[in-house]
This record gives sequence, structure tokens and C-alpha cells, in this order.
Amino acid sequence: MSFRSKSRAGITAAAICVVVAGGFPGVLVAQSPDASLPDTAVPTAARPSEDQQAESAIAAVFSDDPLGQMAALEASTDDAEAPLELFGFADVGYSKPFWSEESLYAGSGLDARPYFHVGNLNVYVAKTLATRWRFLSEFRFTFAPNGAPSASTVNGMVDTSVPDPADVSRPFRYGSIEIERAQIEYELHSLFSVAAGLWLTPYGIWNIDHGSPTVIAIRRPYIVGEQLFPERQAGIQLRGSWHTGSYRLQYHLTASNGRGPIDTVRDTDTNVALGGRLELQWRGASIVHGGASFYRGRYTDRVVPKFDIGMNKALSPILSQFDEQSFGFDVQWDWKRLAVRSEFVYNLKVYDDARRRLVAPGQYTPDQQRFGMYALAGYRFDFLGVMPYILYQDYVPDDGPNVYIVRRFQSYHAGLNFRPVPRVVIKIEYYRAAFPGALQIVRDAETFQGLDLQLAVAF
Amino acid sequence: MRFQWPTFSVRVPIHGLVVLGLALWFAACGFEPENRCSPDQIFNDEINVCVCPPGTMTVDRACISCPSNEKVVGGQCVCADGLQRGPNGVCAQGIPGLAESCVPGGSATCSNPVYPSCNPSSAGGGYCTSSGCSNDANCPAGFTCATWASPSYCMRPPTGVGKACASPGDCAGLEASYCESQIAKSCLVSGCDLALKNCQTGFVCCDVSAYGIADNLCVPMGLCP
Repeated sequence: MSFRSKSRAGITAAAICVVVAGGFPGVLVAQSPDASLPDTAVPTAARPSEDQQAESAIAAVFSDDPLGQMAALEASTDDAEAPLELFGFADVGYSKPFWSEESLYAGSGLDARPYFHVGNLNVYVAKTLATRWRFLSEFRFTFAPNGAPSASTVNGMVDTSVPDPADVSRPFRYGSIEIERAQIEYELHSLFSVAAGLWLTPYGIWNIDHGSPTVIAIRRPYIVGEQLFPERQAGIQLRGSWHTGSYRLQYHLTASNGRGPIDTVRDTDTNVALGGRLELQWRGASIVHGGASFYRGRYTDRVVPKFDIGMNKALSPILSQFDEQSFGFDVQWDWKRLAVRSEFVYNLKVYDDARRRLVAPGQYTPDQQRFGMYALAGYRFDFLGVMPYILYQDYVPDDGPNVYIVRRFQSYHAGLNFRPVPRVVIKIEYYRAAFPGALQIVRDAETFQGLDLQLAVAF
Repeated sequence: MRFQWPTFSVRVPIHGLVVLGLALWFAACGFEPENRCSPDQIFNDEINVCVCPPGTMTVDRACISCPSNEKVVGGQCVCADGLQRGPNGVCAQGIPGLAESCVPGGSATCSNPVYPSCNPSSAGGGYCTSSGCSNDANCPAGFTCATWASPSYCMRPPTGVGKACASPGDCAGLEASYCESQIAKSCLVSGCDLALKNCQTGFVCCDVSAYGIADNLCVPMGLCP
């Protein structure tokens, strides 16, 4: 099935998105097994329904399939004046924690009362600029910093209310925009393309596959959310893929500023962070992906340079500095309607002894290693497209003095993911966590458990 | 269609990934759990930080031993119990009359007119000190100028602060009467006021109600969770 051959008006927009976004590996990767990639091998008689086609098209918007890249390349060749594309996803939710308002968790900033919330509101702006040239950006609109912790307010929260000059100074709350990525890509060949700018670090499954309509569970796994790899980097990424028969080998090589306080715009040291990923895919009776990723860089926090007249030179004292190294492995297995996902990620930070981060008088951050894994399995039924799933996570944070209370985090999740129409996904998930080896105060605390609901849409 | 595992031909690259993974694993073997800190520091497993060994303090990231007759409290060298820092900066037997026992408003008055104020102790009784200070520099070394009080006075280091404890009884009768047995595992002053910030220098008044402790605690600066 070729997306360029679609004629149904209802799927045209999605198809355009596929063509444009398909050239950007990881625009939004389909994590759901039935969010299948474009498949030229599907016989005509076995072609899916219109709904399935639309669903597949939407899913492919979120894919990094090489066929999508090729389609995009063809599109760029044929139509260098392609229109600016806008698309995205959003989710809203309801959370019901099962701990009390007097619990340890409530006192640690985890709300105990049930609440509704707007989660993600992400908008993509993409354009094929010319033959082989493309641009992609992703913006997340948030209410932050409203409600963020603040030591300077009586209620301990930031209030972003300001007078509205356009409405007789009635108060309104401003929000913010997070630039998730902004990259310019030149594709010389399917074996070699270059992306420059701010891009999501190519590792594992979930970091790139972050579109809430396509991920199976509700929240990111801890090992992803805690950024054992940097979530995104500013720099250059080389990538390409080679496929033959049922196999595809894909590579990524990255060079960036690495992590730092202002890493999207400056490198606070002279160290170039390097990374890479190899992924092998096999498409046969089932679809199997196996990947290995690596990252090595230096984090430097330093004072803004100031010229010292007395010493006749600029000074920029380093406050803290460490070298870090991460690696990870991931596997995806889709067999019929069964989907299995798993990742393992490891991160090591080794400080320069003279530049350990001061956390309190006389106390410095030690070298740290963090690691963890998750495993998810789900099965999609025909009925309403319902997918029951289970998720297990195990994470050893070891992330400095702020987490000395929790040594290890284990959580168990069970949920339902169903898609009443192709662009809408409804999820409900129960979770329960344990903290082995924690201080007694945590072991004596209430059970950490709750229920989440999410409504996610692609647009 | 019946599921079939990939044939041997695909196992070669899978093996390649495994080899790559092992290489990455070994590449990360720079972590030494027993050597997570600078050479002169030790790792405090309870609070997950690098600190100087007991009896030493941090000066410009280096661990320096305190002079004789001194101990480390709150990251600072202070005189050992019963000793006081003299004008020459050396800890020795106390300055006559400073911190000697007295009875507030009672008959037992202070002998040294330099320290005429009998300030009540939370552990009972009182001690002689000076009043009317405006900052710590106006007070004997190790004392904190209690600017939150009226009139202000020079507050001595609370008795028992930093003393190792395992149960409330270990801190009984001390001004640092609360045994924090989970993290600090030492005697701390309880009942401070968040607004007044009435803790000794180097300590901060901390709301620990989320941890089931009703009264606020004076904890070393930076350790308030």
C-alpha cells in the first residue's frame, strides 16, 4: 500500500503527514502493534477497511519507517513547494491516587486528591523545503510554571496570574512553550542523511515514541522520564538504513553539546558528546526490533564568564562537572495482535573530584550509577480495538541526596487501551509501586497505588 | 500463520548486537562502588553524599582536620564540650562565667559581668551569656546571635547537637532533645519556628510533618528534605 496513492478525502491529510513526517525518523513512532507501518506486501484482497487505513496512516505519521522516508523523498522531488504541515496530538486525563492527604507521598508533592488535568498539547510544524531538504519542529504548550513549587509564596506554588492589558487588567494565567525539537534534514540517500538542530536522542523505544495516542501505557517509564539518556540534544545526527528482504538495519550517530544547563544553545565545555544507535528489524510472521544505544558526554555547570580587570582575563569558575556514559538495549516483538516491549537503560556519572556538586555545606554528590528496565505486554482484541496490557518497571535511581529515601523502585501496572475511532485512544490504568530497601519511614507508609484515565487524540 | 522464529541467518546480526551490548557494558565499568568520592572523602550511604571523615571538616572542597579540643558540628569546627574558644581562637577551658549555670530570675546569678544575662535553657535551668548582639560577630565563637529574641542574646550551641542516638532516651535532658533515628541518627533541636528561623548558625528550621514528625526540627543546612 502506498500512502501516495490514497484517494479517500478522509485520509488525505494523514497521508500528507505521512509523506512529510515519514522522512523524520521518530516524528512519532507507532508503539501500538496495530499501528502498523506501511506495508507494500499487503495483498489487495486483504487490504484493511477505510478505518484501518486511516488508523494505519495516523500511526505511520508516528513512524520511522524507511518506506516513509522514501515516500517523503519522492514527494520532495515531485513537490518542492509542498505546503506547510500542521499536526499533533493532545491528551487529557483524570488521576485518582489511593493514598491519603496526610501520607508521605502527599507531603512529597504527589497530590492525594483526585484531579483532572491537561497533559500534552503538542503541535508539529513540518515542511519539505526542496529536493532532499526538510524541516521539522515540535512544540509542547504547557501551563507551566503555574503551580510549580515556589519557596517565595505563602502557598508554596507559583501563580502565573497577571493583569491582562487587553481586558481591563483582569487576571489571566500565562503558560509556556517547550521546544521539543527543531531540526533541518538533508537526505542524500537512504543510507545517509544528516539532521542538524535540536532532535530527540535516538535510543530505545519510548523516548522517540512519545505521542500519547500511539504509546500503549499512560505514562513514560521511569527510566525514560528520569533521562538516563538525555531526552534531546542540540547538534548533528547522521542516520541511515539498509534493508534487504525481511531485514532492516538502521544506524544513528550523534554529536552534540551534550548535557548542560543551557545545552540547547551553548556548550559549557569543549567536550563533544557522542552517541549512536544500531537497530535491527525483522519482518516476517512477526515483527521483531532489537536495538542498542550509546551515549557519552560531559556535563559542566559554570558561572557566566566575567572579565576580571585585575587578572586581565575572563574568569568562569566551574561549579560542577562530570563525565557520563549511558547505554541501553531494547526489543519490540509484534506477533499477530500481541505486542511486547522492553528496554534496559544504564547511566554512569563520574565526577571530577575537584568539581563535585555541592549539595549542602560539607556534602558533595558522589559518582552515581542509575539503571532500570521495563517490560510491557499487550494484546489487541477486535472488540472496540481493546488492548489489555501489563507493565512492570524496576528502577534503581541512586541519583544523589534527593532520593536517599528510595533506593529502588518497582511498579506494576495493568490497563486497558482502546481506540473507538482511529484518531482517539482511551486508556485506563491501575498502578502499584514498592520501594525495596527504602528507609523505614517509606516502608511504613501507605501503599503507593492509584488509577489513571487518559483520553488522547491525534490531529 | 504459524509463528516462526527467525532462522539462523538472522542470528548473526543479533549476536553482533549482543557483542556490542557486552562491549558497552564493559565500557561502563568505570564505576567503583567503594570509591565514589574524592580520595579524602568518604561516602555516607545514609544520605547518599560524599562527606569528610569524622573529625574533619570541608574547606574549599578539601577535608581538614579540626584542631585539637574541637569537633565538627554542622560543617564547622566548634569547641569540644566544656571548652570555649578564647580570644586567640584556641579552644580551652571556658571563659570564666560564660555559659555557666544559673537560674533565670532566681538567686543564682552570673559571676562575670561581661556575661550577665541568664538565658533559660530548654533543658531546664539557664546559662550565662551576653545580650544585645546584632550578629554572630558580637558573640563568643560558636555562639549564635539570637536576633529573633527581644532583647537579642548570644545563644550557645545547643547541648547534645550531633550526638549519636538510636532512641529518644539518648537525647533526654539535652537541648537537642529529639532523636532523629532515620537519617541523621543524631540528637536535634525540635520545636523551632519556620518564620523566626530560630536555629543556631549552620542549621535551618525544617518542616518535617510530611514524615510524621509533628514539631519542626533544626537540621544542618541543606539537609531539609
